[in-house]
Amino acid sequence: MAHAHSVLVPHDGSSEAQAALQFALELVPDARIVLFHAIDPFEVRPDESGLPPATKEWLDEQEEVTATLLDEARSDVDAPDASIETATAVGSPAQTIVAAVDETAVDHIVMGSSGRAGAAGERLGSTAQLVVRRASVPVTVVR
Amino acid sequence: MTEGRPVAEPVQSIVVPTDGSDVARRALDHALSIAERYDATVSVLAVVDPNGAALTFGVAEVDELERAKERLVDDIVSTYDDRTVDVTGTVRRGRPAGEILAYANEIGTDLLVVGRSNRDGVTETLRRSTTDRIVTDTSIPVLVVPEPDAE
Repeated sequence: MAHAHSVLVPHDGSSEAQAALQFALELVPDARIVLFHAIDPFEVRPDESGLPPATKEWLDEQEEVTATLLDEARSDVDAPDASIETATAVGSPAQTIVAAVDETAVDHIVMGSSGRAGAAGERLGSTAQLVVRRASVPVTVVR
Repeated sequence: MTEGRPVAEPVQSIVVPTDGSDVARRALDHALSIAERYDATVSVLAVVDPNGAALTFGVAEVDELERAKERLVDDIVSTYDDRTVDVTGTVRRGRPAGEILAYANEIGTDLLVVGRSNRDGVTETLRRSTTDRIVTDTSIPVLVVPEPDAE
């Protein structure tokens, strides 16, 4: 059986996600990596009150923030030869990650155990938990 | 080309728990393909859970279970005799998730590869599966291999 050749790495800008990216590059050095970020309209951030306005302006801004986030993640890894693509989707992280498996034609997911939304001391974030249970491809959870 | 990469291989030791199920076999196949790539060792682990049934087993039953698990592990190891990968088998007694993680820590493994049956999803509200517990309770990277979808 072949080892994984295309790996989806969900990235939310957290150090856990960056560790997962690094691990993916080490585990499958010649893989095609798809760095993925979900724009979550229902994410509540501590510095904002209430939900963001669901406007075109908000989405444009989020897409810019996402592009920066993924670019930074990509340039922070030490793998000059790696093939790293990026992809985004709007929706809940767990659902969009599971759906992105088919859309980006990957055969493996490597992700951090909890991201920036994780509660302090939480050992396995809700997104990782859902992805592990629902994904149709192998999922590696990294801490 | 390898400049800046860690000198050591990222994965040198892989632990694969097995209960004899097809999904555990799939996990083992995954582990072997990774092990081949890195020349890593694969440790197949079966756990005898003396409290695993509705009624607690007696000493004789536990011994019998343990022999069955040893046969299981021996069969698996001999299947892979001709592979280039070093595959070893171990049987331990205890609660599965806790025993698997204790073993993984003892041998200093770099990666756990576990199967996930689709049943886990159905019973997830009732009780946490062994796979769930492993993923939650360890700081070792865990590769979870799903059962193929019934089509």
